[in-house]
Amino acid sequence: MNKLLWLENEAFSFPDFWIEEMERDNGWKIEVKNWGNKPDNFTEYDRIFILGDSFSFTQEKISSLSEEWEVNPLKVRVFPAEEVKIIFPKSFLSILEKFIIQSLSQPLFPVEARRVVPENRVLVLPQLSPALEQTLKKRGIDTIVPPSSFSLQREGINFRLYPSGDNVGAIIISPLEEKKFPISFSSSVQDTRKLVDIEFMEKEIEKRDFRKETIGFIIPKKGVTEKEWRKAFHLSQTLVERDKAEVFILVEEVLVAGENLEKEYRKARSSGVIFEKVDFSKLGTRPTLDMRGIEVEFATERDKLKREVKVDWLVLLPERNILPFKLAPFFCGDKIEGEILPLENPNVLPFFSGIEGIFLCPSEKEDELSLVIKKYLTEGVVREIGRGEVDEEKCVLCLTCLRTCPWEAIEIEGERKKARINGERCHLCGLCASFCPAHAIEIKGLSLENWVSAVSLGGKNESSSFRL
Amino acid sequence: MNYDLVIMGGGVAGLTLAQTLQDKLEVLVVEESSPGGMASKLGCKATDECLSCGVCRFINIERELCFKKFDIWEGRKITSVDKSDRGFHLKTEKGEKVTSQLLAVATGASPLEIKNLSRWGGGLPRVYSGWDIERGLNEGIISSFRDCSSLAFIQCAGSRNFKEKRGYCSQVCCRYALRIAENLKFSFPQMNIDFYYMDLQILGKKKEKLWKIADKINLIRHLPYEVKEEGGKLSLVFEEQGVERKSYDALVLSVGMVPSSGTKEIGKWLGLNFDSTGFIKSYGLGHTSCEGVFVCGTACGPKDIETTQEEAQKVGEEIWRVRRG
Amino acid sequence: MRVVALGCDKSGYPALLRWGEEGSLPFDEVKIFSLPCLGLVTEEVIFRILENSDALLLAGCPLDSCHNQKGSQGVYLKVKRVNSLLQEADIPKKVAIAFVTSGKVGEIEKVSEELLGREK
Repeated sequence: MNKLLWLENEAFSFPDFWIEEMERDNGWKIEVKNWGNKPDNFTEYDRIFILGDSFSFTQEKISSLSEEWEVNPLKVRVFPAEEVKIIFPKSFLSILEKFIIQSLSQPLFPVEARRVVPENRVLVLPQLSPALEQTLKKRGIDTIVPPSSFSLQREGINFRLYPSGDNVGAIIISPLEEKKFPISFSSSVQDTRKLVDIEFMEKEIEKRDFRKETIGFIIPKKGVTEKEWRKAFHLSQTLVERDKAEVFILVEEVLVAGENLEKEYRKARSSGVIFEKVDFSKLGTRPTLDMRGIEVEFATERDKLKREVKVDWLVLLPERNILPFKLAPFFCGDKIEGEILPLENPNVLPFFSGIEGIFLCPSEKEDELSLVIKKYLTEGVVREIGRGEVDEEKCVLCLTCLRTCPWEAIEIEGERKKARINGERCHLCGLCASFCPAHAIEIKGLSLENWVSAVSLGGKNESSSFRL
Repeated sequence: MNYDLVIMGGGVAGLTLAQTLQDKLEVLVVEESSPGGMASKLGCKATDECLSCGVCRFINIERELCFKKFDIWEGRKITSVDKSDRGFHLKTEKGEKVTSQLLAVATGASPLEIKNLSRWGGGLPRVYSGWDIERGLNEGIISSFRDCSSLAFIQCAGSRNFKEKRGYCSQVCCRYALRIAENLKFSFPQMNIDFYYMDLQILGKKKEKLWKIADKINLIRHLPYEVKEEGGKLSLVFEEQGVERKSYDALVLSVGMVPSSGTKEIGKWLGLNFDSTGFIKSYGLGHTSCEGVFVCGTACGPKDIETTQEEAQKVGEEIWRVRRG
Repeated sequence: MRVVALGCDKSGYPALLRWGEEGSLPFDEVKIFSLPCLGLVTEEVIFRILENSDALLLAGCPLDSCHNQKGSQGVYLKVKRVNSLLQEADIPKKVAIAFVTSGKVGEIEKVSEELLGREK
């Protein structure tokens, strides 16, 4: 006699005689509960049917609930009750019955939903910046200083450093930036020593007066942070107000999207700083004859007239670009592509690099990153062990699965050296199974037969939606 | 009824804050209409490539709602808030009373209405607000532009204007306008799109893609000073080395956001300090001028959906830190 | 026309559900299923499903936004191959993919129009 649990949400209420009839016809024992009064022990049921809200019950959610309830995830099935009720109000029960019969006919392989928690320690490559150090400490995350030469290997959900043997739960890539300039400067201009960066100007302003001098700023439209824009507004305003200097700021676009940034821009402008929007491709520079200044030639967007301004100092803000980080020198894992670039994929964890456990830290986002990492290191992930299986007889060791797997879950081992799926790393995407030329891989519960039989549910002239 | 924290407003900010704190505190979210706020009404702007607008983030929140460990009261407005030494006392329009130790204001912002922007043709036929287009994306509003051979975007419509007390940038309009333009160009490659603007604000993700979109359209760094309806088309006048007149089949006014009426009301009742921009002033990590009251989301300044979520998580952390003592 | 629709957990299935909720679907019969990732779909599965239906509509994450990074890509290549085989054998059945995010119902509508167009 099969003991079944129906977990429903408030929208449903099944009349007792429906349930009694189904129990009688099929020899089942059905218990109906809702999320507000869940049973204490889920393990006594042969199957658990979740009725309703099918879109909330993704594979990940079912794995996590199975772990919480300590049941085999193959026992948990989702029935899209709302959709079926709306589309077939009359045959709702018979469709549900058929669904239950079909679920019961599927074999129950031994699968375990296990929570895997990474080690609470991170490795930062290539170097731990002060901002990152501070925020990681604030959240109680341990960092490890790597030795000068080491290599990394996957160890389940963690990484192991060789030769020291330390384990880390996550790796943060704090990439180096390259500074590019949208305009090039001749060596003679650079020889004037009047081409400076904003940090220099910041320090000089503290030391001395720029009375009667003319200072130019060039700010590109890409790759300049909000902090740098604020500095530029602030410094230029000080130069005009405190030192009565003449200040020109040549830009393509002005950043005003930031807290009170528009106000700072306005203050700088009204204090007398001259902002000109120019075409950088037509901007030219020359050293002055006495080599003590730079002549800047530009055409303003406003009137298209060419102008020439002689500046005593030219402050240049660079375009900052993230350099791809090469992981291959450190990583002896099976991910052959070892270059880490930001992945702008909205469906993965924020700051995800493409390799699980490795996060990319863009500049100015250290705090947000450490919050994400804290959650990852505390909660870990839930994986289903035993779900993916390779038939050793069929495997020919072509390594297609290994190269296809986005999560490095395939290992080659055993006496006969065959592919094996490491359950702690498998995300159940099924790519290995679908690409295996020998059809040696099976993801339990998501097999061909399931689908074909599920597709025939619902009969002709009916529309329905089911979870496989 | 007693709670540790009552969050006023059930949009992205309010719900993210509730989800961050649900395991640690007894949380109630009070929402005027239905959960989701502004973000839930906007549509996905991907063409053949995701443009990182963040709208799908709300769907992820929605998915978790059926597992929530906090309470939500939806469909009711808050009619009064008082403070006593026992905490904050709130009353809803349905007469419900609730007392809470801490409050969070997440009542958000609203898009600026275009009907009063007559300078830019607000109220004329075929003059749209960028927000209306965003809200109509799921209903296929893009296809209604099939007959437009030329269209113009007017950026900063009503914004960045100190005289009208809106001297701030709403941070999202340049990006949403470029995404809408990309959708239009994707469906109707022959459409001529002019973009009247002041400064392109390109932040967040997919910056390169957004810059590329800007290259595909005609950028005109002038804002028109008059829009009239002439012979079934919209003609606008701007100045560029003389007076120029151009006419279009449709106009899109990219308006920014202003504090919502809820934000203004509740801020006043609690006596909170406001910024010169009209939003509730945040003193860092969600603190307001009133102890025990926090603010997050667009109620304390315009921001995009991704930033709203990140901020709400940090404010949640801070609330927990304060509560622990 | 009898159509089977498969959508991935993250984006395809929510989008398909929204499309289904919107009322009139342009097909006689539609069955919507979900799976963790479109990467699970193989050519064999497609053929077996087409045995009992006229068309297959797949909905998954956009190519550069796949949760598993390669799921959508993998199935895209397979669909191309299946369609060319079906065409060669003159079988009037089709497979189409809609790359959607969880809210993008318009794309599914577009692809289902294509399925209908092609059938005619």
